[in-house]
Amino acid sequence: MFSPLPAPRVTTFLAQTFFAPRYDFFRPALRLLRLATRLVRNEGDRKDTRPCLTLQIVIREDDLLVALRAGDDTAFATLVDTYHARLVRLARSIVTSREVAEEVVQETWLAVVRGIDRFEGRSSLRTWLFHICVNRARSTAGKESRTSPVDPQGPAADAGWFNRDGSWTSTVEPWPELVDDRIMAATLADHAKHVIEELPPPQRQVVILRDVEGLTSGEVCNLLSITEANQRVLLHRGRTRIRSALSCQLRGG
Amino acid sequence: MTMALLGKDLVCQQAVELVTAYLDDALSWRQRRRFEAHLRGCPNCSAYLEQMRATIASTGRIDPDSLDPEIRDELIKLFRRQHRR
Repeated sequence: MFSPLPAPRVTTFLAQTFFAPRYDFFRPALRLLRLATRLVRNEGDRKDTRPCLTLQIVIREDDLLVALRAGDDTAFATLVDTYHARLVRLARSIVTSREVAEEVVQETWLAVVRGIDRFEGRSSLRTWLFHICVNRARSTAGKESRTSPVDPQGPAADAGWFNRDGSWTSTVEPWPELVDDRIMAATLADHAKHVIEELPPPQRQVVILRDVEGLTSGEVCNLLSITEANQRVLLHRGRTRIRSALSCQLRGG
Repeated sequence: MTMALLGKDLVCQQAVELVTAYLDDALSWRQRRRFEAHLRGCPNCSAYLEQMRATIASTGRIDPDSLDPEIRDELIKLFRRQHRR
């Protein structure tokens, strides 16, 4: 007896480049996707471990907007899949608990759903989402966090690293080549993630936006209402702490 | 006079504090030249700069947490409800 083939696994990706094909081209594909999703749901949970067809559909941001305004829930699902966890991570660096961060992001989505017709596309969809999220999180966290983040002054590096003449006390050993080692790269990324969670909130916000999300310094300054100089100090401190932690990890492990 | 124009050579402790500004291309022309001159003569600070680059690359590889399917379903329901209005 033949058992039916496992349902195809279909994932959608939000294109970060401008050169993806047009949405019209994908309309039939999106319909198929919905059908496939239903099939998977009917099948219950995926206990089938046989290899199955994996389809990845890349959608352009402006096409996604058109689809969202037309009420296409697959488009909305793509947006949620792409950004929900990232918004929670961002909100979590502003509010005190994970639960509150989840609430903030729920509110963010509600604002997105209600405001999608008014979104003019002057900024990217990502920047717009982050703006709503940061503003919600800040008003939830209270007045204190609405003022610009500040951090203590002074050098970021540990004074113990240097002699009195400002030279290194010990040799800085180059790290082993990490690019080729996938497991090592994953371990370090995981370690960096934990260090970021321990950073003071202002540093954490800047590091997440700059280095995890890849926003430019201008975008981050705008989003957090801080100056370039302040942004750089926070980023520098955050990165210095992460580098030290990774260095320990590499020496110890 | 010449010394004042060229500025004193950087020491390692100063160079290390300029790394982020250097990577952001936010140093003035003169600061940049001083920084690069220091790197050429200092294997320790060169290694440090490379470590910073590797740190940034590691941070860029952090994946977001997975999304709770229940929350996902709730959000999509919310979208459908809003759109029907």
